[in-house]
Amino acid sequence: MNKMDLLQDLNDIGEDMLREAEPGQIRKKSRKWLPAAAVIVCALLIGAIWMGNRTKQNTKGAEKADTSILYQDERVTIRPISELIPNAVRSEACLVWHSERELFENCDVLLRARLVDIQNISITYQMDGSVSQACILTLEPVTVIRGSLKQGDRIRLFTDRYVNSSLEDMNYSLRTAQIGREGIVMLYENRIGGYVAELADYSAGDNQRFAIWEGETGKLLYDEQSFAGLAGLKSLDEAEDYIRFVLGDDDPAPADFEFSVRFIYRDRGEKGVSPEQVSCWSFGSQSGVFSFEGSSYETKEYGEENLSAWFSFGQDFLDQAYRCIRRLDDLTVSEDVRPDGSKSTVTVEISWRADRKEKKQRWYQNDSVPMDPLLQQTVTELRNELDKLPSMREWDAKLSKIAVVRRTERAQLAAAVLQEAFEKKYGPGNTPEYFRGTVIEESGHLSVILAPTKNGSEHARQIREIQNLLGEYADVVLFTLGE
Amino acid sequence: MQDPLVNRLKERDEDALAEAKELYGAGLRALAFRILGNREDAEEVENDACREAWESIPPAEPASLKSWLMMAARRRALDRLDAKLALKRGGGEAEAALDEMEDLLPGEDGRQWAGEIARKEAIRRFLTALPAQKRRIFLKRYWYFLSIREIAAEEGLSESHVKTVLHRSRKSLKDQLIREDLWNE
Repeated sequence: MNKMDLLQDLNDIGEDMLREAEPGQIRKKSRKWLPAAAVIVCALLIGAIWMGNRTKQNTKGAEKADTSILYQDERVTIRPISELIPNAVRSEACLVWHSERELFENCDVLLRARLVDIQNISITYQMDGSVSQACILTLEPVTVIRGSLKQGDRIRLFTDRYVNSSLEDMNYSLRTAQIGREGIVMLYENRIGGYVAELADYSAGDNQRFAIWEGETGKLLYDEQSFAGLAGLKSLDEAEDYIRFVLGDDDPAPADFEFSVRFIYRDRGEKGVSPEQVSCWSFGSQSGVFSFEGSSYETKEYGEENLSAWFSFGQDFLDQAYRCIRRLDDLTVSEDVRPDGSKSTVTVEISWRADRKEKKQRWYQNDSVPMDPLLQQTVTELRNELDKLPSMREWDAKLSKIAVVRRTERAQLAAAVLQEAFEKKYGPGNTPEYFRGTVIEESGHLSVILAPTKNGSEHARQIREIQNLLGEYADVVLFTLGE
Repeated sequence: MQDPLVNRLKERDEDALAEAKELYGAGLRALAFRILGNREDAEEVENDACREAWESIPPAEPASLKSWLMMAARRRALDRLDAKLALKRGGGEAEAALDEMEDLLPGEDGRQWAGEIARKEAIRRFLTALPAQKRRIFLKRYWYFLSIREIAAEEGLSESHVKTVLHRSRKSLKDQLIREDLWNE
């Protein structure tokens, strides 16, 4: 039996399969394009209906004399407006941070559409007469990138702000919304009901990030902090391709894809810095296993002990990791970012190999040097993927416990060394006046408690003295001020 | 429903054979050319497949003459390729696909896969269980011997994606053969 036999074995597999795979049938990614003629006809029809509805009286158990009312019930009255209302009530909320992929995935529909109308409205609350403003944007769909549109061929989108591009404090996606602009819009279904459900088909998730508009000369207009991956893209077509890449599960990890992530931790207490602790997680698709390189702290103290663990993991994990890491291909991050004498808490180093190319990126978390947002996003998503692996969580927990135990052992030695050093310098049973005692923390560090002082120089001198007395054991010490 | 051309071949209608050649000849030659890489050889395979249809129908009664002819052409072309390779002569795209089959061979411990019937059944089960696109890609490569580039173009995928799908499919097939205990001592 040889290779040719295997090819021959395939010969009589059945007509259905042969027909299905017959060459000459071209398959492309489907895009839900609306036929152009249907769009035009529907736009004319729906436009006419919409124009009528804009002044339509919609009452619920109440007679309306005011023909400008768009909607009215026992709680609210809604009218179209063309000017900002002074002293209108305005709701505020903090933006919750989401990764790009979360922003694209969390919405119910991700739609490429043209903005065809902006209708600002006032909302008068019957209970106390207060007034707020909002806006209904009308969109003409071009392509559904994700999800499915439940309505017809025009979409009404509710935002809880008055829209006027000249207002300086306008949220970005609203400030850049102009009639005639095409954009990619994130739509959320109206789950609460009430007047919003009567007036609009969807709501914007937040007014800052819900749209990526295409401005004049093709420049993309979007909240740059939230969509770092769009940097350098020049058209909506490119943005759409990028979004489909982020969302899609195309391009699985190549056969030679391997990557490693090193987390280098350095705990810092007040003036006390522990030695580096390194966790390196390596994943290889060819080997099908992952390995963990133990902390340099442990190996330094306890010899060449290598905390290696071998687990198997699924191809899905590699594919997800590959999709995250691929975004770093075009990222230029200087590896000399860390200033001399930095006190970075975490250093993350990502190395990967795919399609016979190799690359390494290093990130320092340092207060004075912010990390590139794309790298931040990638690291966050990688950590999320790592956290999903049950073996990783167990191993991480196990290693944390080992680290605490070993640090505690060292802290106990440090306490003994300090006691002995005090006796030598100050006499048996004596300690300096500023010394209040030691405590071994839950983390395994030795906390040296000092008397409170407002004299910064004296405080620094006390810390230097204790560090000198401790010598090599100073690495597990933190300093705290007592009462 | 029976293929009308098959019915006519059963009644020994020679015009049916000519019609079959006209309808399906190009496809047969294209498949044979991808395997053998040589136009004359491809034409000979086409003729051989049609002659085999005349001689085999009846008693054979295939539901689709086209599929039957393609299978016959492929089998004959692979036999010719086997002979050519034995003489160190090159083939077409099929030679590259043949090299990829190396992944599916057992190791060097002398064991072999089980007999032909068991292997064919296992392969059929494997293909049935594959998702549609992966099955199409696998068959386009190892049945129709399309190039990676052609497959990528037809499926709307990148070439690297196609290569990865093929690599994983071969591995999955081998795993299945092992799981079904098709080793022969």
